[in-house]
Amino acid sequence: MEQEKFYAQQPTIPLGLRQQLLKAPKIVNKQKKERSFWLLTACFFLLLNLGLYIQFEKQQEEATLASYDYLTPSYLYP
Amino acid sequence: MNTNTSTPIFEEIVSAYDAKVYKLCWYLLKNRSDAQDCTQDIFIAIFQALPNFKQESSLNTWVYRISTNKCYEYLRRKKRKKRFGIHVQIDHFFSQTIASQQQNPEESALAAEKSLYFWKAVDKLPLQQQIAYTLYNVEDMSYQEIAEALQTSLSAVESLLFRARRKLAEALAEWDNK
Repeated sequence: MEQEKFYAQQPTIPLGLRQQLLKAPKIVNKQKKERSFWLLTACFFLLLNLGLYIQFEKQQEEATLASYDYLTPSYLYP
Repeated sequence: MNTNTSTPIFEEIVSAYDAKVYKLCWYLLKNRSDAQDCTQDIFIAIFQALPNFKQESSLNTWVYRISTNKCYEYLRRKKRKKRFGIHVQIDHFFSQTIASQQQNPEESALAAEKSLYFWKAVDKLPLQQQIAYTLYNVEDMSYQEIAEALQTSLSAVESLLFRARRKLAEALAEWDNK
């Protein structure tokens, strides 16, 4: 069949292709390390945000209570 | 299977399949750098999937299944690029596939144009047809092996190949009538 003639030529395999392919385990390990680094970084910032939020809420609460104390001195001296 | 035990097996797979996989990528993507990148990605995927290989299918089928899936991804990306106007060049090699067989320079130039026309027609085929057709012609795979690699039925492969051959024959006839 005419169409098959087009597949008759063989492409030249690039030099060093096998060496490049054998690096796959190293690439996978590197990818794993990178992924865990970014995951840890994301977790750190998430926890930092959560901590700051809790701290802010606590400060707000304390400030509210302080303002109550200030506005209602009779509360301190029944 | 951990990384240390799968590395020697992986090395054997690389030495047995590197040229075959590269050839498949080359004929599907028609570009040297894309073929090289795709081959690298395929072997990374093979290494990652190696611990899960349960030997339910043959190693050959398993390697080609991963390869066709990755090539499918690359071909889809290529089509998307084309839609955005980024044209990936067809390598010079593909215009020479039948031109080198000609003696006369005029005939050689015409054959080069015909080759390019043929490969552009292959590029226009639906992706499944392209992959099935390439597996059949490049890897000399049987219909059954292609069906296993593409995870489809035998009759679907027959139909894919029939449609691909018909479209390419039409394209070549169109060229001859020009």
